[in-house]
Parts: sequence; C-alpha cells; structure tokens
Amino acid sequence: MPVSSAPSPALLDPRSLAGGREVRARMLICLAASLVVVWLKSPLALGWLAAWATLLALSTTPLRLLAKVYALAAGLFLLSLGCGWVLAQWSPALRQSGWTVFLTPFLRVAVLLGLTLSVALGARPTELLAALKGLRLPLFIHLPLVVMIRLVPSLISDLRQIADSLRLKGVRLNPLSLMASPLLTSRLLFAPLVFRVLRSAEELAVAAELKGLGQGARLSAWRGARAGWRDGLLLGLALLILAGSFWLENGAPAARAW
Amino acid sequence: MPPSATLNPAPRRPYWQPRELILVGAFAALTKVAGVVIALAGGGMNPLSLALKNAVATVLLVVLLLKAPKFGVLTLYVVSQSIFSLLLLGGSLMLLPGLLPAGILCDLLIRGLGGYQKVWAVLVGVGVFDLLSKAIALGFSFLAFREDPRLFIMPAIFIGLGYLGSLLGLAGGLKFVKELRHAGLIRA
Repeated sequence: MPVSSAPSPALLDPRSLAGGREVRARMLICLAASLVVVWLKSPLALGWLAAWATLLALSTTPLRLLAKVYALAAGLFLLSLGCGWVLAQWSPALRQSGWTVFLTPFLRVAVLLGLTLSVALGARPTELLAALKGLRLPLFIHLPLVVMIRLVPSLISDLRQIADSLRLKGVRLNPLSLMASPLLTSRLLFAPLVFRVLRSAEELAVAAELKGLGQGARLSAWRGARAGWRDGLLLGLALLILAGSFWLENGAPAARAW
Repeated sequence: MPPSATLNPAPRRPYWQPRELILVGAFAALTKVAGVVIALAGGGMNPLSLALKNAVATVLLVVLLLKAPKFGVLTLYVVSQSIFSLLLLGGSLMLLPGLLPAGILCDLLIRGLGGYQKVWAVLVGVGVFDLLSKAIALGFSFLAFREDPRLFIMPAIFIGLGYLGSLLGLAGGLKFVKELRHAGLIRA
C-alpha cells in the first residue's frame, strides 16, 4: 500500500491548491546560476544577471520585503567598500584598482540572492515538497530534505517560546548580551532547543514508522508534481538570459570597456 | 518446496531507517536556524557571532553523530545540507563535489578509530571534517575573489575565525554530550 505524504488539514487552504509557481524550474535556475556566477567575471554580465534575478524575485516576493533585503545587501557592499578602503591604505596597488574590484564579488552575491528569494519566499512548503518529490530523489535524501522544510517554521516558533521564557526570567537576548556572555547566551537558547528537536524527531519517526515508511512502501504525492508549460517557458527564458550573459562576458563591444 | 517459502518473506530491512533520516533532517534544519538566529542576535555577522555560529554547528554535528551512530550519517548530513542550500538558499554547486568526499573520508576515519560509540573518535572525525570543509570554503572563496587575489585575505580571515569557532564547538560538544548522556538521550 502506498504511503501517503498528505499534510495536515490545516495546510489544505485554497491558496496552496492554486499550485504552479514553477518552483522546480526556479530550483534548476538556482542550480545553474550557482555555477555560472563563479565562471563569469565581467561586472556587465553579472549586472545583467542580477537585474534579471531581481525581476524574478519581484514576481514572487513582496516589494517591501525585497527592498529590505536589498538594502541589507547594499549595506554589506558599502561595508566591504569601507574594509577595502582600510586595506587600500596599506596596499597602493589596491588603491589603483578602484572600487570596481569589489563590484564583481558583490554582483555574484546579488544574483544568487535574487534567485534564492524567488524560490524560498515565493513558494509555500507544500509547493516546495511537491517540487522536491518531482525531482525523484532517493528516500534517504528526500526524507531529510522534507523534514528540514517542515521543521524550520516550527523551530522558529520554538525559539520564540524559549526567548519569551528567558525574558520572563530576566535574560535579555540582544547583541549586547551575546557579546558580553556568548557561551551562556547560546547555551540558554540552544540547549532547550536541542531537547525539543530530539523529541520532535522521535515523534515524527514514530509517525513515519506507523505509516510504513522505510519498509519498502512507495511514497505517493499528495499533489501532482508535473512540470507545466510555465516551467518550460521560464527555463527557456533562463537559457536566453544566461546566453546573453555569456555574450556580454565575451562578445559584446561594451565588455571590452570593463 | 519448504512450508516457510509459501509464507510472505520478511521484507529486507533497508540500511537507512526513517528514525535516522528524520534525525539528520531535524539537526540540519536546526543548524540552519541556529546560524540565522545567531547572526540576527549578534547584530550581523561580526567575528564573534561568526565563531559562535560555527561552534554551535559543530556541537550539533557531534550530538547528531552520537545520537544516530551509523556509518554514513555524516555524509548524509553534508549531502542534505548542501542540496538544501543549493536549491533554496543560493548555495554553490561547486562545494558539493568537495564536501561529499570529505564527509565519506571522515565517516571512514570515525569507523577506523573505533566507531560511533566512542566519543573521542566522533570528535576527531568532526574536527577533521571541519578542517576539510574550511579548506574547501577557502578554495571556493579564492574562485569568487580571483579578480583581485589581495581581496582573498578577507574571506580567509573569516574562514579562519569560523574554524576557531569549530574548535571551540568540539570542546562544547564534549561537555554537552555529557549532559545529554546524563539525561539518558545519548547512550555512547
């Protein structure tokens, strides 16, 4: 008898049934981009990819959240520029290179940031699980990944509860307390969390074994994981964009200017 | 035909049991969440929070290996984390070919040193794995900063600080394992 991976009724909301959102295509694009950005060197080609990644992130992520994340990334870029300026005081060669030398590593991060946001914030856990199921990974890889996706929200909720209980005891969790007593703070925060995780894992394991998982039973998907025409369209577009970035890297007249 | 052959034969027990797979996933998720929480609580990724993040990750890895003492758990943990990072967190595919042999090597090392029931064997295995993974991260950073190798000093400092945190985590792991053993959660 196939083992059902159906989620709890609380997750059966109509919006999650809307499905689609090309999660698998976005995952594949993330995969390809992680290789391409290391190979590309030109700020022009990387900037082109970063612009496209931002557009892709905009299609799934709320504008306000996206603005916050990009502001944080820009802050980190400015920080790295500041560190570079300090380094340049000792290295005249670095001073001659100018600020563009910091741009390439930053653009690599910006591309991956946009693509990651488009997957991580643009899909519900049920959609991610369906997409993972569609990748046809073996059970010993599929199950830990499913558990990771499922447990992250409950771990965050557990952490909030632990932080609340610490606050009631008069322990403040802030950068200052972490700096003043890092070991004590992390111990107070994570020791109860490890106990909770061990208990949750035990309960999940019992539930999985009761459903026959791991006894050779075949997993059945609650939602279909077929790739649609939108996946094909997005992958085709991604191929064109990547080809464009290679052209900008090597063939475009403007590439020589960089 | 003997009578026993007519009965349904007992299904072959797979090597990986759901209990172990779930534990691997749970600890991998915990490591990711812990990293984010420390970065947020530390007001950004400063040197202290960076070292602390690595220390917590090492402690959790030690606990996982003692809680699920089976050959291949370290490799499976590495693969799960890498695929998760690859697909959802913008991690790089280039790290996986390095991390996979590092995980297998350290699994073999732990087995060679006496198995997963011995705490010191696990500590040595995790210590070597941390060292190898930091070396791989250094190699990847060199690729990312290859336009101007002088900038490579920045990731090198950060990775070095991370390894110091991992060493701290080995000591913390030893202490934490004693507590978990006292609580009856670990038998090693």
